[in-house]
Amino acid sequence: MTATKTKPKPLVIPELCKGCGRCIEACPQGCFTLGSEINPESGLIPVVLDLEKCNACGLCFTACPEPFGLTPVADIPHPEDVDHEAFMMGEATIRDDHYPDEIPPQKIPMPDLPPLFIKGTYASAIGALLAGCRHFYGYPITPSTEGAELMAKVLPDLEGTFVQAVSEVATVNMMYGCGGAGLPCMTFTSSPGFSLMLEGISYMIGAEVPGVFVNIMRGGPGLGNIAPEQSDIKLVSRGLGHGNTHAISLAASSPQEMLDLTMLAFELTFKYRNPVVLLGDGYLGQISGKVTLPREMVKPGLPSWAVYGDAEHRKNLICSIALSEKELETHNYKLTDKYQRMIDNEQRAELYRCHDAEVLIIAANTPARMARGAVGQLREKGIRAGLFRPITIWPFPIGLLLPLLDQVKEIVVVEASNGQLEDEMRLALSHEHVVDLPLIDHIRHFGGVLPQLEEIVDHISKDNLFEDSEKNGNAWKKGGRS
Amino acid sequence: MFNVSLENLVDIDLEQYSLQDYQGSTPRWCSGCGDNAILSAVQKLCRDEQLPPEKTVFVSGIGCSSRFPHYMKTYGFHGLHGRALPIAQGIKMHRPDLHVFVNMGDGDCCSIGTAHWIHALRYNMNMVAIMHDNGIYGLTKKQASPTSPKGLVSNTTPQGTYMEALNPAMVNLGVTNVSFFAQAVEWVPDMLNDIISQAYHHRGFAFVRVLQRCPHFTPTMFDPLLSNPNNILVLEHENGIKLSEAAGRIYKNHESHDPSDIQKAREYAGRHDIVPVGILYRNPEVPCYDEIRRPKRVFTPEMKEAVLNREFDKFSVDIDSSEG
Ligand SMILES: Cc1ncc(C[n+]2csc(CCOP(=O)(O)OP(=O)(O)O)c2C)c(N)n1
Ligand code: SF4
Ligand code: SF4
Ligand code: SF4
Ligand SMILES: [Mg+2]
Repeated sequence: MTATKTKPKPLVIPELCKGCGRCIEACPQGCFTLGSEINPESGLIPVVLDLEKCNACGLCFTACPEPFGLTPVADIPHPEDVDHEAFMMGEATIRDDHYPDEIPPQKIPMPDLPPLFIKGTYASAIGALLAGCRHFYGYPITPSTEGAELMAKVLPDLEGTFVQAVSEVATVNMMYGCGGAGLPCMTFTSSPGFSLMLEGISYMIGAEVPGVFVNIMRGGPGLGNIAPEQSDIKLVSRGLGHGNTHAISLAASSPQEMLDLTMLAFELTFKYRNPVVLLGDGYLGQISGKVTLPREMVKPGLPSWAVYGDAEHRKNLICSIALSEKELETHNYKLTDKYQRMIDNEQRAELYRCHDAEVLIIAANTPARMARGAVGQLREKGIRAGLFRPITIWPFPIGLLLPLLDQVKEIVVVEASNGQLEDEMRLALSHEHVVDLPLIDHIRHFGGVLPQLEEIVDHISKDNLFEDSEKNGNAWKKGGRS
Repeated sequence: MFNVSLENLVDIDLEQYSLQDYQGSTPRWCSGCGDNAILSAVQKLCRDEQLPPEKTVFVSGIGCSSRFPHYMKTYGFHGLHGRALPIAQGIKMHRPDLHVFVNMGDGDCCSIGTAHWIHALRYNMNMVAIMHDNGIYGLTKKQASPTSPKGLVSNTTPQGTYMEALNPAMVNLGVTNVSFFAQAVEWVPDMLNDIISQAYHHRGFAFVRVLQRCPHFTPTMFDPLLSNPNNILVLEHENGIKLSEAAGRIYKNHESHDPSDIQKAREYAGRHDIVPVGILYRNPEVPCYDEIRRPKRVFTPEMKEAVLNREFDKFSVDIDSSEG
């Protein structure tokens, strides 16, 4: 009860109390009783005060008509010395002890079902349902809304909750609450909407609350357009709101993966008590593809930390505030350790024909589909190409890239963004102290223009690293060598 | 001789703005979309008031209706979803000489932008705000909006919406400093023109809710009003709109309502049996934030310099003595 320490409690000055009893009525705690002894100085009968139950609400001070009958006493600090927010909020609010038992999630076998032929957004929604998600919050935004619309259709009949919130700001805060209750919840959004959610995501990360954000990225900045771009790689990797934040972000490149990675996202979000972002792009949201259903679905459990709203979980507290400097630093160390565990354990990538690759194409989401085709054609031309496809954008799968670097002569990052993926790769290389970099080249597009298969093949064929041509005029590549 | 030359007459002619002077690019709205009607009413207003296009600005959020500025040959600001009003306020604060108009959808204004709407009423800045209320999200392809009628089946409410629609009239008339609220239907041009013109002439924040058909997604939403004009109650007054003879033959349901009477306005706003059309409330006496905050005097460069120096002087230290 640190907060109450600095709040004043009353002191009755018997010689100045006239015994009118107004404080008796005012006090909700029943601290005052009528007295029985006459005060020799005043000749009146003052009230008797018992501070045992006093919570320092202060109501009696204003009730007392005597200027000095009842006075507040406490070691009241000078107002200028009081950190008002700290005073109002109390401290030591982040707790992690006294948890009730966890109810673990269960895997339930699925019957053999024929494959589906569905859009990426639908596949993700189905993945969420199979992962046990029954709570959806969202605000319509193209090209993500169809996923939400599927949830709107089915959730009410699954005893679930679908809420079209009044905005993305409302959405993320509903998720904060729902995730805080220990329930799997999700949203579908697209870049402008995701921008609005960042504040709430920072709170969720600070308070260690799970939630799955499916971001079907579109062209930016600003309103941009509704066509595919990988516009938010930077946001999910380096910009999840204010403070020391990180979250695992998964990048899908087929409707099948939209389902699989959505299910994985739910697993990871509870494993780490941290939001997880699934990145698709406008193209992936819309294209249909064959989707095989998993062998198992999940019946969610209930984490011990959940503020579930029953007697058992009553002691739990979800909050991201830690006012004392020491406490907040400790909390941040704890978060940082957690991020390190994600970096150590969750890096994922697909390596396609990489075993002997000299030219390594790095691409994720839809551009990876084109790059995969390009690998085949390049190999036909005698260029030993391979595709390294990060599935986790953060953490960047550097651990899987490093072993390839000995044989790789050139890396070509193919992306539908201004180099946001390349930046992540370069940062990861730098953290690994890789000095002897292969050539790093790139193909970049924006605004819904996607890198095309022929373009990649032409670019890399012309690049003819092996023929030593005038491409040395490219200062960018020279820079890459150093 | 009066010294009238043909040249002068031609000049006078040239200075008249015609409708074309306000017509921007060709609207991309669906055919039959009520936004077209609102656009033509607004262009007519600009022509009738001879608003210089370079002194006129249309600000919008995001939505079908928010494409409005593209279709005006004036200044325009196609803003962010829900944020048209704060953008317009910024413009008006700094450029009181501009005629500021705001176009918002019902999702824009009543969902994501609600906080801005409430405070725009309270700030009461000189501008006209038109809410294109089609009761649906048009641009994102048919999701329910706060003004969707209860039970409306949409892509996010396949079982029908659960709640009564938000009543924008009641909200407007309930906020401190409300100074002008009118309601119109886009398919009766006479009344729409009249209402928009009066909104323009109002001193303060003039909010006009226009019921707007979206034939693409909710073709039958306004059928009860279209097929039975008696479901519309026209509020007439010498200080409000006047029903033309022709319109009077169709809209037989009309009453006299003095727009200065807010109690009566709230009564009309709360009615469920009819849709009131006309000027529900007008009070030009409410203070306008943009006027209150306008600088009352001229600041010369010397005065500004003095202000800065006075402030810097408070913090300046004498290096020689402090080093000692
Ligand atoms: C932050 C953000 N969230 C969502 C969207 C997607 N969006 C664009 S317009 C719109 C609502 C359209 O409805 P309304 O405001 O009623 O305008 P209408 O199209 O009906 O004229 C939405 C949700 C967006 N552009 N920005
Ligand atoms: S502060 Fe409150 S609880 Fe304490 S004595 Fe006064 S009224 Fe009673
Ligand atoms: S209100 Fe003041 S004067 Fe009256 S009984 Fe209480 S302490 Fe005494
Ligand atoms: S969708 Fe509806 S609101 Fe949008 S342009 Fe078409 S008719 Fe108008
Ligand atoms: Mg609308």
